[in-house]
Amino acid sequence: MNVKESIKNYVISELISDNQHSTLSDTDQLIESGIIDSLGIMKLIGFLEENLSVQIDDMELVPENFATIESIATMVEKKL
Amino acid sequence: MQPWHDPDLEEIRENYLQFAEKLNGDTPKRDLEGEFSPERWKRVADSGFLRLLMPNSLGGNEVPVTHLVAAMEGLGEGCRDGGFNYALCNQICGIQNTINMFGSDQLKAEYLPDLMSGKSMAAYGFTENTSGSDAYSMETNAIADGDDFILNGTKQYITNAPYANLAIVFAKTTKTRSPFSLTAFLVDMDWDGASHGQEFDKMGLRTVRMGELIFDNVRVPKSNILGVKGGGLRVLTESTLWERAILTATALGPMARGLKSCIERAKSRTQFDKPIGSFQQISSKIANMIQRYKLSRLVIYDMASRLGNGTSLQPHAQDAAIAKIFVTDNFIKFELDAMQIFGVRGYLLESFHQQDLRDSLSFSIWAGTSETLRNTVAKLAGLPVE
Repeated sequence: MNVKESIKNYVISELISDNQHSTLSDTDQLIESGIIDSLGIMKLIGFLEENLSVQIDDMELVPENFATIESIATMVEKKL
Repeated sequence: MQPWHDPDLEEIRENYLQFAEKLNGDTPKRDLEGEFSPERWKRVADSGFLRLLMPNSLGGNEVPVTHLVAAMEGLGEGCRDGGFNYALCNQICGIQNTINMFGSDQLKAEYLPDLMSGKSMAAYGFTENTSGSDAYSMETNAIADGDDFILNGTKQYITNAPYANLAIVFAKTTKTRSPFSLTAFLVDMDWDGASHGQEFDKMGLRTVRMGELIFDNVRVPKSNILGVKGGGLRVLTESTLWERAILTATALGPMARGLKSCIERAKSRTQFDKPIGSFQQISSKIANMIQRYKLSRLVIYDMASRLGNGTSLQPHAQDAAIAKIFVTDNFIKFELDAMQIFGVRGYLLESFHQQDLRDSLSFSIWAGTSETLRNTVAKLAGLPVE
């Protein structure tokens, strides 16, 4: 499983609890559309740091990096 | 060896206990009058307590977190002043640790030495009149202006506010409810436009005072941001997780002290020519109190053993919330049982049991109410909690 799929699977299985986004696309707006809230963001950071073994620096905590599955994967892949 | 069986920790706890017993004196009077003791604060700072977790490079001791918990245990058991102990440990877990984790090297060097020495005291400015658990309804805002931000707003119900000369202040830097709309600033309360407002009297933790922090067009340099602009959520999450996991250890000292006191009472107090400890209604309470105390220690030392200095607690968010809920519930029930064992003598204002009971009730409120934390636990388990 590649990085993008791993992140998407995590978002769908762990962060989306209303069963409304099982067909999440890589470019769906996660924050603007309310798919992920503040607790979800922090949980996602924990997942990235623990399971993908990357460190998310404070400077990277900007909306652009967490806007979509695509942008999260791009940020992570630069670290691998 | 499990950390809670480490003889080094026992020695630290015992040393702080003996030191802290000398801090009691007029505690019941100060509790009654809601009086903070700057003189005791300085004595504790001189003991090195506020240096324990801080980096060696700035004059700290950089000890493992379990050592800090052992010191907190000893302090809380020896010193019967729950409000004072809470304020000290709040400064370590909520303020100094947060600056150490998120401050630039310049901010750490500028502010941490004075906090460690007791020369400076700080407050954690998050809660507002209409914003607590709902962080994004916050009205305090900061607007960029050149190399500064202009800060406006009022923080309420803030521990240490009446005498803090430094504050961590959360403000909205965008008007949306986005997770990236909050920013944390380190604000010197001597700056133009920063002031201390109304004070609030309260039922527990009375020897630390609570009040307002007011910011009226305060010019805050961008260099005083903790973390990054829009990164306030991470600062908030990490600092509250530390409070939930470690500040909760302030319950252990009163429980250790209360347990000794209640066992002694149950053996020495006789009714119907028998020690009251021979009655199962009393012995059952004591047994429950021992369980509550020992299990609370296990929970807190388990959390402490997972943390390194400056280490993210984020992967342990659910367990930190559970730790706070567990210790809070058990601390309150413990103190209620202690009151019953002492009867009317525990109800007297001169008794530390009634003070500990009032103090214990605050645990279900600070760093997230028990209701909010249960929501967090459920939400982190994937439930669709609003």
